[in-house]
Amino acid sequence: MGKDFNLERVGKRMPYTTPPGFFDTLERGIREKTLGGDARPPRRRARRKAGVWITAAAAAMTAAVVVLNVPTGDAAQVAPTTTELAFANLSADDQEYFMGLLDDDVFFSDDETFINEQ
Amino acid sequence: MDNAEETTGETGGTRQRKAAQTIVATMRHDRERGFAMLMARYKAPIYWHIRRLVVSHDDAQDATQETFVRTFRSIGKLKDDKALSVWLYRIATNEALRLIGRRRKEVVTLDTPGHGADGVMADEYVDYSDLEAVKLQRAILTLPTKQRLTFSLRYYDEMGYDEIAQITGSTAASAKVNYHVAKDKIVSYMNATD
Repeated sequence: MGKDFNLERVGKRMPYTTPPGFFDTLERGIREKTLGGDARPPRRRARRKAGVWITAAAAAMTAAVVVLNVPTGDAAQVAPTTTELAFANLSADDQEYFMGLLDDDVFFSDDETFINEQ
Repeated sequence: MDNAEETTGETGGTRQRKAAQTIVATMRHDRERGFAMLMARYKAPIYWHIRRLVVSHDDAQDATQETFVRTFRSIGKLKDDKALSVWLYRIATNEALRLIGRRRKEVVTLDTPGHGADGVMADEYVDYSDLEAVKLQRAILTLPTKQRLTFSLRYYDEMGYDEIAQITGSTAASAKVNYHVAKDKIVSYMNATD
């Protein structure tokens, strides 16, 4: 290294290293201690929550119709009307999200592919 | 002057302060997004700052984690959003000194003498093949704590003397003197030892 050492020759080079993927692991650890490890954005969480509530409400109403042996016809219209009301109370974003869920569901989709397979 | 500076007329410091302001504002109304921005901007620089002080990777990891947890929990106490960087580095420095003190079983402050080059490289995550870089770190570790910190902030983090002064609790003039004394000592060490 001689008697003419020049800092610029080494620059910012350091001998220190880290394990592979260290900074991702570090961020995950900090996230768990601060945000509780939930990486989903709040908006998405709210939309998922709305989707869960609507699905649960629809399931509960279907179960009630089966258990109480509600006759088909005009009286059976109560369940879909309530669901529709609940749906109408959602924001446009949440409605769009829920419709997106239905579009992706083979049992609800209007896609001709599924109709032809029946 | 870099290209962005020529275009906008802003200095690197001004841009950094604006970025800090944006991060703090985001953290206040959208914690998730603010956290992601804080991590993207600071996790590596803060880790390396601490690593240069404590040397051991494990210690640096612990101190970095603690630094960000403290920062995140007390972000509401930050009076000047533009001072985020200085605030973070102050917390990081305190965490590093606390760890060094725990290891040495004494209280370590900025006025504590350097802890010598002997304990430098007993760490798994050091590339011993780069002899000159290893020797430079040994030289830095022989410096008194305040000089070492000042040198690291100026040389590696390219901070201005006014920011360094805020982190080390001194004046810009004192930071400048400390940097040049540290640099001279390092060059002497590098030239004197094999």
